Amino acid sequence: MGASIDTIRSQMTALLPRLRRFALSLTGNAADADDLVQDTVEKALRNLHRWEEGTRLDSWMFRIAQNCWIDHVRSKRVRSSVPLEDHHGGTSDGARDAEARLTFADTCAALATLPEEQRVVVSLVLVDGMAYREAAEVLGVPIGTVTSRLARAREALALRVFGKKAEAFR
Amino acid sequence: MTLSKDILMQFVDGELAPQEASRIEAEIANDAEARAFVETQTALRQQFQAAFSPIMEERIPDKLMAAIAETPVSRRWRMAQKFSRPNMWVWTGLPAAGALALGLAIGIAVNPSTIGPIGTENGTLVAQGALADALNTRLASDAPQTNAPHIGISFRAKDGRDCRTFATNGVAGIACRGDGRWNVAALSAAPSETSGTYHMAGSGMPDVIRNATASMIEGTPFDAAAERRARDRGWK
Repeated sequence: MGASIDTIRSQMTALLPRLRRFALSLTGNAADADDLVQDTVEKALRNLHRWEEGTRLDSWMFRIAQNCWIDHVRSKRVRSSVPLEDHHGGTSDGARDAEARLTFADTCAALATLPEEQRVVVSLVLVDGMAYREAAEVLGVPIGTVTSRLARAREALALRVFGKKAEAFR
Repeated sequence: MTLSKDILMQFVDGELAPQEASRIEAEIANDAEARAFVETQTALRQQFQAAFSPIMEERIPDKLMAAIAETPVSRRWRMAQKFSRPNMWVWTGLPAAGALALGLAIGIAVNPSTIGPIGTENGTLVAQGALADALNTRLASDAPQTNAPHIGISFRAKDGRDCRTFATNGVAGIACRGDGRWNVAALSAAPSETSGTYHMAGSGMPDVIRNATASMIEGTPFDAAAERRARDRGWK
């Protein structure tokens, strides 16, 4: 027996925090991230017949999210990059907060330099922590493609984030 | 550096089988260049997780909760369900079920400032407090306690995890053991006035939870002895 729609809706709800984090790493700011997650959820429910029951709901929804994002970036040619402000908004006091903001901005800026395909892989594997096999399933590509995109992305990111220290490995 | 960067990357990402990983670990110990590569890439991974993860602890915006509760499901999916499972849509004696109640229940659950039975951890819903205690320790045969979470049936899921149904604070759900936590795999509104009257294992659960159980279970629910064994070895 399969899952009822209420079960599916509750499972989708449980996925929201992960989807928001994934969307944030793609878009670089919270407002665009939530628009992307909203599109993803609506598309998933309106196309639920395309989900093969028994397969992973999370993989399917991550795939929808990345497709939505790629479509969005390619159609609008949005400069999907460089949010230098904190995604939480204005509040800033304390060194801890400043440190977190620097990390977020640096990380986003580094990510924004990558080609979209590499950025998606980084978001799946490094940010979400997916196994290569799962990431390959989300993207519908062979695992070797995930590995090679990730290797290229990692090299570029390490150089950007850690500078000379990483240069030795090029 | 004799090890390839691909292998080292897989090592950092936890992609290698344990035996392979320990072999690499031993080699890295004698290879400063490889060690530096691994350190850099590990730091990179940690930085990316740290940069984006705070959003997971934030309250989910209402518009996303609404999108999940209110977006109509594709007609083709509904038709397919109707023909394959004629009884799916019968809700028995559940006055406040459905999208609104589900939204409310989860709205409470995901608000990190609420110390309720369910919270979020690394982006998934997890049981906490009295509910987590009950899931860890209570057996179905234990005498029912007023105002304590009710534990229904326990079973092995198809993915190998131990799972238990529960009802507490007006919600009912399924929690499955993983990463040392009870992850909430399904959640629904439950009629609160019956929270003390679930005597038959599972029978008092909302349909949505019973159906979810049916789709997840491998074989049959644990009997009393199997339930006790699972508890005594700490669930898995």
